[in-house]
Amino acid sequence: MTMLSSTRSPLTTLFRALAGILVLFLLLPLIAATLRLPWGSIGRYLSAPAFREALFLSFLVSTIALVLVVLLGFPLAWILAHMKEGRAGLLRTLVTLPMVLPPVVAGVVLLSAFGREGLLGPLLGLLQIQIPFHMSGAVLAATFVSAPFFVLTVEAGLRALDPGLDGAAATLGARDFRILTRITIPQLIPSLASGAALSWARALGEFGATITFAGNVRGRTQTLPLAVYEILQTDYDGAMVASFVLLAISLLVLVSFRRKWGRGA
Amino acid sequence: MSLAVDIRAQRGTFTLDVAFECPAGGRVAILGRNGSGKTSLVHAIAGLLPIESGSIRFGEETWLDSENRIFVAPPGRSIGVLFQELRLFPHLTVLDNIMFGLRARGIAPREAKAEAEKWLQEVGLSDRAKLLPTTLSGGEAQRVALVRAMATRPQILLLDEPLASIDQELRAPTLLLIRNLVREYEGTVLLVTHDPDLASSFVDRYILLENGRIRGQGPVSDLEA
Repeated sequence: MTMLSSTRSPLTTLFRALAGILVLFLLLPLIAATLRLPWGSIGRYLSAPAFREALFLSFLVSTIALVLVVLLGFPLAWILAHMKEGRAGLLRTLVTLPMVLPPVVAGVVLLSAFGREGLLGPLLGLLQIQIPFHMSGAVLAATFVSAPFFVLTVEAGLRALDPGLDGAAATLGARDFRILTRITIPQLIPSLASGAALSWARALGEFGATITFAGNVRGRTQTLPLAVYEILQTDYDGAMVASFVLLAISLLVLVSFRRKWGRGA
Repeated sequence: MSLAVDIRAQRGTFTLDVAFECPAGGRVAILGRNGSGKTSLVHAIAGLLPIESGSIRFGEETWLDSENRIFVAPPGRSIGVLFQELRLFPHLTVLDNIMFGLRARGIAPREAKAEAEKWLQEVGLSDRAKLLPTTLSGGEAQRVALVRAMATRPQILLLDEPLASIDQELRAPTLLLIRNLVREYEGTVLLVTHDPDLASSFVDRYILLENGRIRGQGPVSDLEA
């Protein structure tokens, strides 16, 4: 590190140049999109029923997914954090898988489990539950791809806590539930918040698994990203506006959590 | 109520194997070098260390009896621990740290607050009530941790190296303060230290640990000889 810290070294100059290229590459499309935005007709696009429907559905789906992720993901993160590092490895790999899995593949594996022809298909059919082409399909897809972001963030947060504090609380008379609610969770708020923000933002942007597994049905499974895809076929400007809305929301989530919790979400 | 400890615990290559009794209201120093098992013994009595075999009894209560598979978790033991590393809750104010045990023991918020304020006053830190522990000096944090351990009025007080994190020039006044608090306290005190001088200043018996075993014990007056 000390060698790189010199501002005049040729290596620093090289790194600056290379890093500059990457930053420019990441920034350019955003700038281009802003420039190409049909400012005059934004209002018309934003008030279109199809757009509003998709936006509403996106919020609904990713919020329900977040509730599921938090409810089931917190216990999982807690168990992972309390496992010996060696044993936790396998389970953690499994949990991480949806993060690196191509979303289309996620959709295919979800179909093979919950589709009409899938493993649980007959059972779901018997109970008259249909998941594909239904909002619940979009929720499942979003939950599947976004859960790892929450679980891994919260696990890391839990591991960073001082386990000695639990012991201290116990000697003061606190039992598990009080330790969890008064000692663990209050210290974990930054991790919980950034995990939830990341997870929610990932669910909001979910496309591949949703279109493969849940389908692209307006009002039921057509979330905003799916709507963007459909609009793009016929109306470039409309797709621009919808994309920009998604971009703005993602940016807002990131910035607000960075500011509030002082860590890059 | 007397404390009777007879335990064996394995931690890696280290074995703790001790048996001793401490009369009700006794003040006993646990002496020994670093790594002799002093802290492990404190944690065992507090219920924070898994014990392979043995028993811990306090008066009529059985806190541990490996043969009969009895294990009472820390909240069920009337103990107060001053940890070597203090372990103040970093997200709670000084007042809330002291209130924590009182609330956990079922005391109503208002009463707990009044009680905690009294303790803070006792150690001259009333003006620090609303601060977070990280903003305190070492000596102040030490005092907060001590009264946090005493606030629930436990029957056994475990003090693990109470001067370890105190600067040299603050040792004498801190020691005086601890001694005054402990003098008024009626329960049993186990004081862990590697410093025989500290021990002789306010305990009546000592136990000397070496490699997890008791190498000697007796009245503290023996230490001066």
